[in-house]
Parts: sequence; structure tokens; C-alpha cells
Amino acid sequence: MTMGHATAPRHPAPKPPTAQPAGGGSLSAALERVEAQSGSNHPLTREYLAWREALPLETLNDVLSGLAERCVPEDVVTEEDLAACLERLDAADRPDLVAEFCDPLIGRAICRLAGLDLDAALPLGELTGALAALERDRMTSRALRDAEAALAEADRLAARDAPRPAALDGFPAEVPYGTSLALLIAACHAAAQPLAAVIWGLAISGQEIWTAASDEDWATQRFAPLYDRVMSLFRRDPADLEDLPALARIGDDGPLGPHVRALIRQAIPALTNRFPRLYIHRSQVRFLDRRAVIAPFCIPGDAHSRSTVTSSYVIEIRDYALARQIATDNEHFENSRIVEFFKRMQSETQINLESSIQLAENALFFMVGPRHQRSRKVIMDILGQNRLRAWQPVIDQGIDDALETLAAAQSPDIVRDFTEPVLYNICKPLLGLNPADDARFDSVALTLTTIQMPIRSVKALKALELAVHDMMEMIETQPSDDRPGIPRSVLSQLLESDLEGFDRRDLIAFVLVLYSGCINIAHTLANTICWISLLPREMTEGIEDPRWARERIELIMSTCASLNYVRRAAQTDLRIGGLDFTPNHEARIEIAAVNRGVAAGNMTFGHGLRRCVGAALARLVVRAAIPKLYSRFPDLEILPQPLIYEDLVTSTSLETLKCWLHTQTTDRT
Amino acid sequence: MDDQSNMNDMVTAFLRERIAAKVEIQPEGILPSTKLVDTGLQSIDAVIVCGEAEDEFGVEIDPSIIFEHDALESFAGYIVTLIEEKS
Repeated sequence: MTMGHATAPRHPAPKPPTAQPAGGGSLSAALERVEAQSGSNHPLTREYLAWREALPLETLNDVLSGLAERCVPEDVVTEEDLAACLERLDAADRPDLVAEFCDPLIGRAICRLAGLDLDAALPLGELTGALAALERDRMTSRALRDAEAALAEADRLAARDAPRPAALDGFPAEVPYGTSLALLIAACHAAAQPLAAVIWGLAISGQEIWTAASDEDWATQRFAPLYDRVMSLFRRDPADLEDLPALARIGDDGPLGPHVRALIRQAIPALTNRFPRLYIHRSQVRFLDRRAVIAPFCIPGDAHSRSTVTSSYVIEIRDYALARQIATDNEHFENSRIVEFFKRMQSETQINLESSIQLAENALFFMVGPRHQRSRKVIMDILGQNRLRAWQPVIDQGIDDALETLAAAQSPDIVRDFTEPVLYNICKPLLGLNPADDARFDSVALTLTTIQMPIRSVKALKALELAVHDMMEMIETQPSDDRPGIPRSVLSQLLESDLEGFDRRDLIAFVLVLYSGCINIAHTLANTICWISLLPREMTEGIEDPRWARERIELIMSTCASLNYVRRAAQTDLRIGGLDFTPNHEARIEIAAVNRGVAAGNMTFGHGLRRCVGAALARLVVRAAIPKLYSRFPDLEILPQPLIYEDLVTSTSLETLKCWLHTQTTDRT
Repeated sequence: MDDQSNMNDMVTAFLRERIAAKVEIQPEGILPSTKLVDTGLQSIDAVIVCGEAEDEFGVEIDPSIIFEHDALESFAGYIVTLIEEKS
């Protein structure tokens, strides 16, 4: 999707490059290797894959055209179908929206299209899931076992029905009946992937857009533009697919396109009406690169945003009022005792964790008492909103330099070439971090963001210790961080403040923890740009004007913030919000849930005594970066790609976000 | 299914023995249905037990996951899933 905000006449744009699909190697060959190595035997799967790779696209399209003629698009699902799938989603504990809603609904639609009994819908849904696992090239023993069982069920359904349904007439006579059924199901399922993609797009767009999808006019007024925006992110150019098997080339623009769009037009309002407070765990969404259409194959979420007791150790907080109460109740809750944990681990395992202990002791969010009060006062005097004005020129220049990096990139990537440079260009000089080896420093810095995790594996502990030790050494030995023309850094000011209870290494650790918080600025900025790409055109008008970001900064921070949780440990037995806490319990505040529909007053930075000291800086950077980015590149386009998130429990952080800048100097590949 | 059941038993037995050693009770006192919180298992114990399970079964286990599971059998089932996905 292009922003189209340029006021000057646009030159004809060259064809945008697409992020190339992952290698489409033969699944049959992969299965052969697995069977040879393991001695296993999967005859039904072998036959299915062989036909999958042999069938021409014309044959599949003929079969799908036959289905399309049998069923008017508006009849592809009924209200009963929707009700049944919504009930299933409602009843699921920790639902995956694909497994509990999309796939069952698609299964029912396939039954209607193919003239099969509806009691086949459930096994068909499981068949699609099993076949999709194979499509992900994951020939694990479990995936193969599930696929073989699902194909056996397809054979059983085939044997039950006589005569053979007319829907399968388009397949060559030599394709076994059960295999034909499986191929038909796989093709229909591939065509229907946009359902999951649109649900994802709505869910990450925020409460306002989710709620609007339950309006009566959504299907007629707002569906088409949303569909186009989402699919521009997930639909590949057919010219890039010509060497792939026919099934891999089935997209949403084939014979079943009208049926898929009708399915979505009906399903979305039903879903949003039934679950007005549904939210998803963005960083846990997994995308399948189905070649023609990229789509989520797993969308973990929660249908109700109700706070629940997850186990004897964890209570998940999803209610805004309760979250706020817990965040500000320092009598009954405190932040996790990480220092104590590290010390005990060091004692019990004999693993040296001295650097990690020092880092945790100097992390503001783990401090208590007078040391916390003293250091918080000093840092707020430095990072408070009024004081940060002196840093505005550094912020502006840092963003401008990042834009140059982006413009010069051969294959521009928002994360690598813009949001990370923004972080380095601004936050390092501001904090006083001037390591001799920037590349090494940056490569280990991401590990710091795990400091907030309450417990971690021995392997992760060792990695954290190495990273912290390395970073401390680099800053201790760094050249002077005084840079001409800019204010004195946070580290310089702290060293000169003679803060009671902190030696030099303590202050370096203190600043490194601040930097770990700043890394979230880069993540949040990337999330924001992804979010903007999905907004309706009318909502992004004037985005190049600084007022646009300034007026929406709280909405942005609420919707796009990277931090996933705020964790608080209960100190005593107590009952609040209808929930019984014991000292074993951690209250895990899910920021995405509690922020739904909340702009001003959101929980992204917490509240009260533990409110994030970097909140003002984060806002300033994002407010400045957005208008500058879209002024410089008004036609910025996010390329079709599966979204891949860093494997971080603590935050929602894109690994990469490839884009095209629509400038004459940008390479096409 | 037999393989899966055997794997489940093996993982459960391993976890029972390791948890019992950490919290200093007899393994027989920990049933598959026993709530982990009732054993007195602390976060540091969870990290060590998970590390031992990682070494034994060749999988990566985020120890915070242990606290998502109330009972031993639930956590054992999670590890079995990891083993199967790895194979």
C-alpha cells in the first residue's frame, strides 16, 4: 500500500520488487529423505505429495471453477456455520484464532462448495491443519503422523460417500478419491487464507478499527479498502511463482476469489460483534509463506480480555482498572526480586553472575527504598520532558541521518536501515554510550532487554552475563563521551552528581539498563510503521505534518508499544478484582489487553512511582520520526513478506520490515 | 500412541525425581496430578530442573513455562511436545 501523500506530480513508478519467496523445494523429495533416514513409511502422504506436485494449475483451476459455479458466494457460509465456529472459539482456552475459528469455518465452507455432509467439516479442518504443517516444510515425526492420520480420514470419508461427488470430477480418473478430496481441500484452504490475514490486520489496527468492523455498513463500505491494504502486504506477484507446484500458486485471485471475499464479509462482523474486546499476542503470530498468499497460520489471542488465574504462580491481568491498581499498589505488590534470584543462582550453580547482579542492583525498576528515590529523582531531573528540549536538535539530526541510511540501502529495511539507526544515533549520545566497537556493542545489546524476565534458563543466564560483562567493559574503557555541540550526556551528569550509594560501575550499569529500555523505542517505531501501513487512507492524511503524530502519540503508544508485560509480585494474600493472590503469584499485566480502547492514560509506561523514566524520550522520538519519514518518502510501501518477530518474551519486536521507497534512485531488487 | 505414552512416562519420572531432589521430599510423594506449587518448588529450582531436562532430552525449555502449568503431568506433556517437534 502506498501512502500517496505527495502533492507534486508523481513520476511513473517502476514495478516494485517483492521479497522473494522462500525456496520451493520438493516436499516429496523431503519426505523421501526423512523416510530413508528414519525407516518410517507414510504411503498416503507420499501419494498426496506426488499428486500435489504433478497436477497442472489448469486442472486445479478447473476444479475450483466447478466449485464456484455450484455455490453462490453469499451462500458459502450460513449463520449456523458462523455460530458454531464462534462457540468453538468462545469455549477454547488460550485460543488460536486460526485453529479455533478460521480453519473450522473454512472447513464448513468447503463442505458447502463441494456438496459434502457438514459432519465432514471437523475432520476436514484437521486435515487442512495437518496438510498446512507439511506445507511449512516441517517433516517432523508428529507432523507426518498427523498428516497420515488425516489423509486416512479423508479416505474414510471418501469411501463413505457414493457416488463420488461431482466436485471432484475435474481431477484425472487415476487420482485416488481420498487424494482428490485432500487436494481439493488444500486448494480451497489456500485460497481462503485471506480470512486469517484480515483478522490479523483488524486485530493489530486497534480498538477503534476492530469496533468499526461490527457496524452494519462495514461489509459494504469498509471491507474492500481494508482487504486491499492487508493483501498488499501478503499477496505475491504471480510472475514470481511460475516455477512452483500448482497448489503453491493458488491465491485469493482465482475462481474462488468472490467466495473468499463473501466469507470474510460475513465472518468479520460476526466475530467483532461477538468478541468486542478480543486481542491477539502480536509477537506470537506465525506467518506461513504460502507463496501466492502469505498468511498467519497461528494467531494466539484472547477472546474476552478477562483477567484469569493461569496457574498457582501466575495471574494474567487484562482489565485496565485492575492493572492500574496493581501497578500503583506498592504496599501489596513489588517488582520481581531479580537480584535475589541471580545471587541464589550464582550460589547454587557456581556460575559467575557478578555482572548480571550488578546490572540488576542498578536497574531502577528493581530498586526499593531510599536508593530508588534518590536515583529516580536525579534521572527525572535529566530526562524529564522540559530537560529533553535541549536534546531536540540531536533527535532531529539522528532521524535525518537514519533517513539517509534508509535512502542509501540497496534493499531497504525499516528495522535495519531506519529504526535501529534512530536508536543508535539518538540514545547512545544522549546516555553517554560511546563504545570503541559499536558493532559489537549493538550485537549484544538486544540481550539486555531480557533483564526484566523473572526467570530464565541457565543458557540464557550465561548469555546475559557474557553480554553484560562485555558491555560494562566497553563503556568503562570507552573514549570520552563528550561530543561538541550537544548537551552533556546522562552518564556524564550522573558521574558528576556524586549520587549516594553508587560508584562508577554502578552508574555505568544504571545507564546500560536505561539503554535496554531505549531499545524498545526502535521496536515501537517499527511496529508503528507496520500499523500505519494498514490504516485507512483517510486516517493517514497529513501524516507528513508533525501535528499528525503529535495528536495521535498516545494512541500510537497504546497500540504499537513493544513491551508485552508489566510484572508485579504479590507480597501477601489478598483479594482484588475478584482474584485471590498469594505470595506465590506474579500479576502479569498484559499491556496489549489493558490498552485496548485506551489512548491517554494507557499502561505502556506504567503509572505512579514505577512509571518508566524514558516515557518522555520515547514520545519525542516517535513524534519526530513519523513526519520526517513520510515527508521524505511519501510513497513508502511495505513489501509483501511474512512478518517475523524476535524470539523475545518481553517485547514485540520485528526482526525485519522490508520496504520500497518509490524513489527513482532505489534499486528494483 | 504407545511411543508417546512411553515418552510421557519417561519424562514424568525424570521430572518427579529431579523435583523431589530439589524440594527434598520422596519422589513417591509427587504424583502426575500433584500441583507444582504444593511441592514448594521455587523459581530457582525450576531453572535448575529445566536445565537438567534440557540436557537429558536435548530440547530448549523456557523455565518460566513451568509456572504456566499447575500439575506435573501438564508440564511433562509440554516437554513431550517439544521432544516430538524436534524429532
